[in-house]
Amino acid sequence: MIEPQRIAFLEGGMSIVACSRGADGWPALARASGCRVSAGGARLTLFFAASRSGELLDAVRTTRVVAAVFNEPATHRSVQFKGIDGAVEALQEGDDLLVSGYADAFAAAIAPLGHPAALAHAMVYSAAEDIVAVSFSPLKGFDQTPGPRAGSPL
Amino acid sequence: MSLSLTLAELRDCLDGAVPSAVATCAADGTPNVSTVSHVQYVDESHVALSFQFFSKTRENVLATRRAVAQLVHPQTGASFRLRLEYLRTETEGPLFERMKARLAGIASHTGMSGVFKLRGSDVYRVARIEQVPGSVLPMPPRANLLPLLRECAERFGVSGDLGTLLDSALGMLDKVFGIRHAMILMLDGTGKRLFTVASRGYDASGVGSEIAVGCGVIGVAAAQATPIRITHMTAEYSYGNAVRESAQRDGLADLIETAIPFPGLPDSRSQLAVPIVVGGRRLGVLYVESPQDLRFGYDDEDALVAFAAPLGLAILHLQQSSEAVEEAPAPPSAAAPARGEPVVIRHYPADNSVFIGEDYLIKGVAGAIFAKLARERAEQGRSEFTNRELRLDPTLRLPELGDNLEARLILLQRRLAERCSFLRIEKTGRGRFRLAADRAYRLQRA
Repeated sequence: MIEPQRIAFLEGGMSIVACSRGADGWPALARASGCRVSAGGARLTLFFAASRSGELLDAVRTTRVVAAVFNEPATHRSVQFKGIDGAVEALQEGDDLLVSGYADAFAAAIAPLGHPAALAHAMVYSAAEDIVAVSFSPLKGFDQTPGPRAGSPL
Repeated sequence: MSLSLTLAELRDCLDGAVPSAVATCAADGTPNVSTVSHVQYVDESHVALSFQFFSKTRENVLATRRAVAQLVHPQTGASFRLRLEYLRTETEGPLFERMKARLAGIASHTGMSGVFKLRGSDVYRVARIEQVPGSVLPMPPRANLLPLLRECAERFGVSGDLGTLLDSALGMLDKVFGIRHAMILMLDGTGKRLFTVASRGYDASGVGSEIAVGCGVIGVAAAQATPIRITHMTAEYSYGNAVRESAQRDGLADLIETAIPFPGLPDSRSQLAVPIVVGGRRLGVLYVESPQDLRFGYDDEDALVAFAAPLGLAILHLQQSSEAVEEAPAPPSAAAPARGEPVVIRHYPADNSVFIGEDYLIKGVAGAIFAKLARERAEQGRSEFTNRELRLDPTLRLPELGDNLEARLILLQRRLAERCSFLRIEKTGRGRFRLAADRAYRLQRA
């Protein structure tokens, strides 16, 4: 369950990378192109460009385990959520707007580091027809901000 | 490993401009993902990750020996995934020191000084590289450094003496590579200190300034015989800190020349120190810096390592040939009479420091050489000398001298040119020189 005060942070254009475990035992990871947190925070949905995330999607379908890290580039503030019921899903209405809005928010988040918006778009842009969703119930959350407290449960 | 994509092509992704992500799985299969500040290129099939905290990532890697890293090219936005197999952790040595310096720079740049601390370099074999599909931005044009390097290497052979060679090397860095601020430091015979013998692009040359081996970017490069590159400047590796650090080491504080300020850029942002090594023997360090962040990348590091190799050979050749010349002893030519009220020159044998009037000139080996020359000129009326006689002089058999006689003479020549209006060292041939005086002086042993 994600606390309400954290939802705005997660949906605020953070750098999002997710991983799962493939059938061969190797981790599979991909950068997400946005996210949606369900009302109440019980379900976390990440959007991916299918063409860039084949291994991750296969891994989620096979093992269903998911970990996702949200990182604020300018401050290093990071949180990670993990779940065991991941599923690849169809988009809901309005998800395409979340994805296009995310690209701009991510560009704004890395602009203070001197990166142009074009770089942000190259990293996270995906055509609407290429987008898929992966959702899971976050069972555990961890503070991942670098430092001695990194890794402690939220 | 994919043949179409090499690690060398991905090195731009590794400088931390865009953090990399690393995914692992625990022994029970639970995945974990985190971001890392930089991935270090080791060679064509190995990278290293910084071990800073006892994190879940590290616990997983030790358990499963597998990780997948995703890297982003900071200019094109292209992403790459690397399958990594953990091999070992290094806690000292060249790789560790390279990563420690880089991490300190990144920490300082990102406000993480005191948080990022390198405990070890975790070395991985790269089992697979794949480019993530997707549109990328065009790669900005960049200079091909190879022809520039060839141009420089060909010119190293034509310098007649060490001073000209060093100045011409720094001139080439400026004109050919566009590197405006650079210096060359030589390792002294004790192996504990480096002294600046040539510089370019600074208000004051700083010739004669010293750095303790093991301290700061330059000192660590010399100690480990490995290039040290900092892409974002950090106070941890600043000259001031290097001096403080050397002061804390046993007995080094008194040994290091601090009266001559080190000629660094006050607003340096990028630094690269490359050891000058010939056949495993360390001669000195070539140091370059820039007020720009991220000025020196992996390619520049490669180019300067390749630049330093023929430079080292040429230095060694000129140092050795300057003393090997079997020439007749210098003719006892009478020193030209000097005019005017004699200036008092004080020589303190305790540390061989020399003052011209009230102005500090030099100490150590160069001070001892100067005192001998000035004394013989005054007492015996001779002004012509050879390197060889200095080498054979029992009073100059100082451990600091090592093979650096020619470099010490250049240092002395340059200090005189900067600090003394009436005494000069003039080269009169290979391994020969003159101490010229336009004014009378009186040498005092203080």
